[in-house]
Amino acid sequence: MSQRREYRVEGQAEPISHFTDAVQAGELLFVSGIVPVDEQRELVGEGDVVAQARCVFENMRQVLAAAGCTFADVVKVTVFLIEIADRPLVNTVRQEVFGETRPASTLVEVPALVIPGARIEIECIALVPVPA
Amino acid sequence: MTGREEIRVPSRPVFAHSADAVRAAGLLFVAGVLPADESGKLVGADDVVVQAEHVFDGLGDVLRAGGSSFADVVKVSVYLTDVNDRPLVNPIRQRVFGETRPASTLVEVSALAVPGAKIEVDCIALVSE
Repeated sequence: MSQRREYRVEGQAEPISHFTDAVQAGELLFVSGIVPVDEQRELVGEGDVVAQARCVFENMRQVLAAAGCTFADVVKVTVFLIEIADRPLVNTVRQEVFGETRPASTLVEVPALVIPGARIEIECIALVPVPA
Repeated sequence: MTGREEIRVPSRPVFAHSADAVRAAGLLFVAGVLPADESGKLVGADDVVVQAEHVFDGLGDVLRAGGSSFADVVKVSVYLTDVNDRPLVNPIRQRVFGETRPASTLVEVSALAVPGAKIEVDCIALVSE
């Protein structure tokens, strides 16, 4: 395997700047910040941070899967919220998604995200399973 | 390559108790680069394009010092004090990265360490040498 591999995942919106959905470096997969948008980059779940979080995690599931990863392989997440008070609402979704897995995590409030109306963005780093 | 190695670029300003980059496990973790000269003074006044050019020049210097390059970058994080500056910064990203597309996160933040700075960029890269 080459040391560095870029992933552009079918079904994900075209990257808005000069980047791609994820890059594998050795055993690690670096996933770009994921926002609550559909394939046409239309906002999903306007005004509803729970619906937005579900959309973000579904997008993340697809990006992880492209590299053979699942949520159980995630080692670090960074969560950006427009409103820190949304944290308990998002946490419920995180519990559903990660189950027994507990990644390292940082969560901060930010004044603005790239997509107007987006209340949440999440990036992560995952361990790519070695093929048996 | 094993171990942990701190990279210090003499021409870079020091703002905190940090190195310019640290190498570990085949990866180079580059500290956030700000638009500041060697003495730590703001570069580019209120022009985000000039600031971004300076930041990516500095990032290139640190990557080279760490045995890496823009083509080796796997993840970049861009912090802007005004998210609407993103389209102004993107052409510079296209120029420095060329065919390479790193993973990326871009968010707005309320303040950066250098007063007047409108952009900070950090990254993680593979060590190519």
